[in-house]
Amino acid sequence: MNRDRWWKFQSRAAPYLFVSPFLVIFCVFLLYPLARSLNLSFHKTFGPRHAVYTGWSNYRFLLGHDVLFGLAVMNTAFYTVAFVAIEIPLSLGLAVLLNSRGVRLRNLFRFSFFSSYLVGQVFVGVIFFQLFSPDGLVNQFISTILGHRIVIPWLSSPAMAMPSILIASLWLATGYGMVYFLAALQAVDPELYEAAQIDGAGGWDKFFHVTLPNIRPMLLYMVLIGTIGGFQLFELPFVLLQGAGPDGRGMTIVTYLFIMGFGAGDLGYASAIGWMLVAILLIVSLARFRFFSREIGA
Amino acid sequence: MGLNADRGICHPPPGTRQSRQAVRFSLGKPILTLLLAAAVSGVAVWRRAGAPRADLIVWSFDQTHVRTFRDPLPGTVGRSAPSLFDQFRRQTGFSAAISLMGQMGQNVRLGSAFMSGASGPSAPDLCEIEIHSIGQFLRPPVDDIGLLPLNDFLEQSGWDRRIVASRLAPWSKTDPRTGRRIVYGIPQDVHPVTITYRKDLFDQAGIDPRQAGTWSRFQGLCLAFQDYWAAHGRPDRRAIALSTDSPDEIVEMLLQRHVNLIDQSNRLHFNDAKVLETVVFYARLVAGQRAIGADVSPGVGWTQDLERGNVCAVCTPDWKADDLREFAPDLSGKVAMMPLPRFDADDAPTSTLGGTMVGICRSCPHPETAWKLLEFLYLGPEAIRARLAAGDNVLPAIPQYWSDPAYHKGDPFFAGGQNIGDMYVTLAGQIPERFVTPYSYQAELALAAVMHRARQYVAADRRMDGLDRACAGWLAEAQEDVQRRIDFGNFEP
Repeated sequence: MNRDRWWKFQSRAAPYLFVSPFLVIFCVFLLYPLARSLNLSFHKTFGPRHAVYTGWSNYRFLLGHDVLFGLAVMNTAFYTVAFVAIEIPLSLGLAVLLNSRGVRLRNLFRFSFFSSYLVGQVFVGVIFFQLFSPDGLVNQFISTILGHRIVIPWLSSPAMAMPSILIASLWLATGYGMVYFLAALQAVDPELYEAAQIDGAGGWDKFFHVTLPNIRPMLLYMVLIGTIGGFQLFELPFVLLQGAGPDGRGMTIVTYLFIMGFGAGDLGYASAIGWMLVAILLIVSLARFRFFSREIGA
Repeated sequence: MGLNADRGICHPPPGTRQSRQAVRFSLGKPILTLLLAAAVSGVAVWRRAGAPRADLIVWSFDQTHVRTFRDPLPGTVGRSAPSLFDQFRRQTGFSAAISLMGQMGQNVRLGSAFMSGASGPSAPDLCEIEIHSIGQFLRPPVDDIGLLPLNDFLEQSGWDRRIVASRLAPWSKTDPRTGRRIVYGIPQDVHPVTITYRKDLFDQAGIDPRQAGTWSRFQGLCLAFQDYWAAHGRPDRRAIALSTDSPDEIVEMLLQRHVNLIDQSNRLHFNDAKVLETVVFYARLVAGQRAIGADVSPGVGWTQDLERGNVCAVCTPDWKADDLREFAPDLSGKVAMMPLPRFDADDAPTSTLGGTMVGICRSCPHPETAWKLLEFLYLGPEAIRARLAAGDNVLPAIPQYWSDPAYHKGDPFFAGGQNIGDMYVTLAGQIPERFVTPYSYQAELALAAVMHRARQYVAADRRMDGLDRACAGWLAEAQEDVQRRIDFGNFEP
């Protein structure tokens, strides 16, 4: 092969060579499993070796008869709405506070609040499992304040299961949201605040009429990833409640998928649950994107 | 240097020094280094000799078992004897090893191995499985279950006549073609259940719970006990640990009454009158004005709750009695044990909670040798001696060993050196039969949901005469739901 042909060959091959690692990994670990799980969702299975084709029956049972799936969807939707509604104001509040020049040791506080995110959901689940036990630190603290022993059944009461998950996940994620909002706040043009100041705007006026409109794209982005993250919730409640929780009140869609796939061994039904989750996320994301693009356009 | 604009690739004019270097490898040194590193490490990993695998691998989630099998056994005059594994290798020439893993992790790995038909290093030859987990492995048709049927081994060795028959039931499945029960696991225990209570606190209140005899009278005595302590500065003190979340205790009570929510033929019994009566009674034990039960801390935290007197009695299978000694040593001399009260005269004075089996995986290439190892580690007299030497006092599922003096010693941890071993041995012969099917877990979830609704009903202080009717409706709904799941998920015709 002469030099020119070698050069041409390399030039032609180089892009494919660069792209090939991603393509191979994408096909082996994403595309093939996706296609396989779609195929499995039309089978009754005990693992991939024992599969009986059943058509749409998994989806029919899931949507028509499975009260546990309905419960899992309700739990997940409730968690997602509550999480987004609480996490975003908390993160934004912290970010505004730690963006203020009046606060000393700002970097230390920023790192402290963010550091909880670094430990991961499983670790947080283990910590809060201890904190929320009948004689755990939380109940001890409340008992000390009230002056008599009180046992709040954080993890064993159906009514308390979701608040317990919310508290733990807010502890985990608020610092993460704060970092994003800090970045957005620091990108707001200071001259806008100066102009507002000259016009006689107070602190709240500046927040509502300068800060919020300028960080709106970030706000919508946080709502979107909070919603997607909420629907994908699994490890934290699974570790915290040691499974589905009292009366199934801590069972999310992914927890139910795990129970059916690896507990009952029905990968076909678990795949159908997974594809229903995809459909839900797709609908939510499309709705958000429509709203998002309209906001940006405005 | 020219720029190939449409491909974004730079290349030098021909004939220069740079061009000669580039012709050798035009993508640059970093890429070349990365490719070389990947090639070298790939070859190294590919050629790396794996650690030699023992002839037989056992998977266990129980640290005591791992220590018992692997560690040298205590010998005479301070000298240690060879471990059980070493003894087995000397007798048979086959090596064995054990892997310890978390229970949930083991279930997932085992399930994946069974589902994919894995063999070799990624699958064990023998595995221990806990009673709450076995159902999931029994879902496929009998010939496709990942565990080997052990009926022939049991019959040929005669162990089928020596093992407590009721303890073979949880690890078995009926072959619909022949109606024969296929046994997939050998039980390691019987786990009779008693009640351990704070004798010092009950004595102070002047109440002897052993006099109860029935659950109804037991509730009455416990209410008197709570009234006493409420008048003496502990209004929060509860008589007994009863879960408001897990269905474990209510299932124990049903077993005591010889009711399995699902029997060996997958028939449901939610609509049994005894189930209704038990659920309604249990709801009144944990809610309302006549409540005597309370939740305890997770894990072994219940030992601390008992030590602090937050709860003053606990249902104790034999393995829990060991936990008590280990985690609440200050209770020494303050606790006593009693059989379970009954509902009716024909109920068992005990129940069963928990349990572990050992089985041989279908993928095992040497099933005969695996059976020999199973006999040696779990059934033989050496195994029982090793278990006792390791401090494992759990009663084995083989009655011929129950006469061993080690199971009949007075226990100084219990008040007056009570001989709790005697009590466990007496009750072990009366434990009710328990079946586990792939749908037992879902049935227990459904029962827990009914129990919650009943508890809320009682807690809301509504008219009690409506509870029976409401509860019967919830149980019927639960039965319908679980039946639908059985019909939907069943492989058998």
